[in-house]
Amino acid sequence: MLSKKMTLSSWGNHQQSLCEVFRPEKLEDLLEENILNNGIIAQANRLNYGDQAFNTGGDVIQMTRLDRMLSFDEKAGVLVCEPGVTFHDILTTFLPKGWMPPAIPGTLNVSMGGAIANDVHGKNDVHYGSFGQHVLAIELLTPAGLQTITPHKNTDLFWATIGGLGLTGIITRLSLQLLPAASDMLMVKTQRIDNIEQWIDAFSENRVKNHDFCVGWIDLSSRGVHSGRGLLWTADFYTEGKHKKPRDYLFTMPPLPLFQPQLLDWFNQGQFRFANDKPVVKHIMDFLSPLDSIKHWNRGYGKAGFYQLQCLLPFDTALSGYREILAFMTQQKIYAALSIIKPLFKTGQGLLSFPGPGVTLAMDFHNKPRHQQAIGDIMAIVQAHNGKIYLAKDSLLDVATFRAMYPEQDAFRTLRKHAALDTAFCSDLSRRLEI
Amino acid sequence: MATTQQWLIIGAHSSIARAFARIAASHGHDMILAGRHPAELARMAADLTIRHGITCKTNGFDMNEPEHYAELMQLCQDPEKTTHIFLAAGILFSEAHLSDAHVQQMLQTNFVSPIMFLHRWIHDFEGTTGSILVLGSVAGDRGRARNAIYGASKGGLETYLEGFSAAAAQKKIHVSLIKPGPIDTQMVFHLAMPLLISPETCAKACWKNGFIKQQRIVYTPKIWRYIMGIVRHIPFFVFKHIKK
Repeated sequence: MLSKKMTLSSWGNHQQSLCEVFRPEKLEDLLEENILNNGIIAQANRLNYGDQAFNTGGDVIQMTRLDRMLSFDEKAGVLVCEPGVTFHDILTTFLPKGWMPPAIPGTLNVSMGGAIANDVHGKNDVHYGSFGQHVLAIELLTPAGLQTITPHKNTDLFWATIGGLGLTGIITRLSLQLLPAASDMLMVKTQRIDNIEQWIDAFSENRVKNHDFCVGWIDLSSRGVHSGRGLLWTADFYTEGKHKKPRDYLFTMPPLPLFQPQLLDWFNQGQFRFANDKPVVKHIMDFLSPLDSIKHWNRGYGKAGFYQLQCLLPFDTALSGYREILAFMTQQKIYAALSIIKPLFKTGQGLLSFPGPGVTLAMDFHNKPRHQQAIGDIMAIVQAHNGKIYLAKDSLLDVATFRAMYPEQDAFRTLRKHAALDTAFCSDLSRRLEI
Repeated sequence: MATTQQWLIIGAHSSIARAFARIAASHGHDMILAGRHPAELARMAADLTIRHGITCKTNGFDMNEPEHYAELMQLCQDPEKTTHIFLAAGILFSEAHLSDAHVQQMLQTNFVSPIMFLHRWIHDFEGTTGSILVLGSVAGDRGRARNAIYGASKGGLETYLEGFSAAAAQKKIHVSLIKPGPIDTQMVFHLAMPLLISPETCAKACWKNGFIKQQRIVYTPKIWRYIMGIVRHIPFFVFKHIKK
């Protein structure tokens, strides 16, 4: 397999990494030579915000071209496919047949490999839980060769691979249980939320489980951060009306730093003020990933890029924790450009899984030293409230805080060591967090 | 068209052919995938069938073995269908240190075998042929020191196709030669290349300009038509010094 040196960046654009990149076109390319000798990390579309797909000075394997669907059981809804297949591929192929992928993240361009590596969660967590719960089998390439792992066979390695950030092997194939999708259209209702107390209230399980999907946008711009006001969107499958096509493409963000504070303030204000109080019918793909129609939207943060902090606070500490975080941001005059808030109810079973019962908040910050400092302080507040940080979005977490937040990391590190996976698979993230 | 349409894709496992097969399948055309890697063909067939609900046959096929042409033509024969061909088989070696066997292989795969196959097809295929799309290269437009053999194989093929198109036109068969610049495939992954495009972009041009618009020569990206127009007319005493 030929390779070349490339400078890679992730969605956050705040750091670059020079790596030797291999790109197989088919499975046989991957197996023909031993690429595990020097330590390697697999990736596809690099939609994480941090450094999990970087292996600076080392090898990286680009799996995007291993994107074949291999078999589909129409009765059971089980898809076997290669790891480069994306959520977008699965939705366009299977929505007409009444199926959808589980745990759909905010961008549909995430690959199945990335979904496993981060045990991604979606807007219907209350019903179905995170991605890893629906993976029936994984074919994994390790120094021992190709092996199939399932929740019942090689269980330890399976639950280390779910949420395992690519550090247990290269996924070559997976078997996924799809979920029933009553329609490709959703009826979306908007509810105005005035403060953080109302958010916590709205996220009680009794209320959330009445809907198929649930997500909130919270205004943490300079005008909105004090109150924590926002909009709660609940959506249900809608079978009665006309089918619309998904928006797919709106425009391409030019490489200009358009996300200026004043503009963001206006955007956030406008979002709140002009919210549609009447229910609206939307295509499911538009509802689940509204930003996908703006190509390269991350360029709006300029060349320095941005950070996203996504944290989870358990239900019992969420109110006091988020009050403290919002007060901190107000006091320090730290404002987030875009923030999404969601409830989660089920616990991801991977050793390093992020999802657990609680409220998760994701905030975007321009890349500035005072923001980096603030992120560190917010992470300390999260830790103090028994919360955790989502590694898919992170590049600033330190080892001590990580170890406190992820008690299973010791078991993960031990497993990697015993199976010689730590020398075969490594990344900037594995070195930073010492796993 | 009353009959269903199907594509015979030769060299199906190449990334351009893969991308083209996906486009054609998305328009409801059936597929016959011919190539040298049966396992890969089976995976491709499964992928196309699942994504687009079309019928997809496979055939382990090496265009360098003429004794198997008849078998492939038999597989394509169907009175209900119009068969189109996408010929993507090709090979590229760095010409710095080339063995005799490699020289022979390049000429055989890029020049001799496509001609032999098309010659056999136009005379012996008993079904209806619609369009024949052949992948060439801008490298065929002028001989360069760096890739004289590759360029010759593609350039020579163009001359054959010109004559072939004239004969084919009498049977209402349209022939299109696609000349891409560098494509981002495994073949050139380790090299820095100008105006590199993805296999998907090339495949789209093949479909839109080669198949739908029925252009005889398709450059992709289009700018290569003008670049090669200029390059072809550079006097040799100047051209021989150009390194790129």
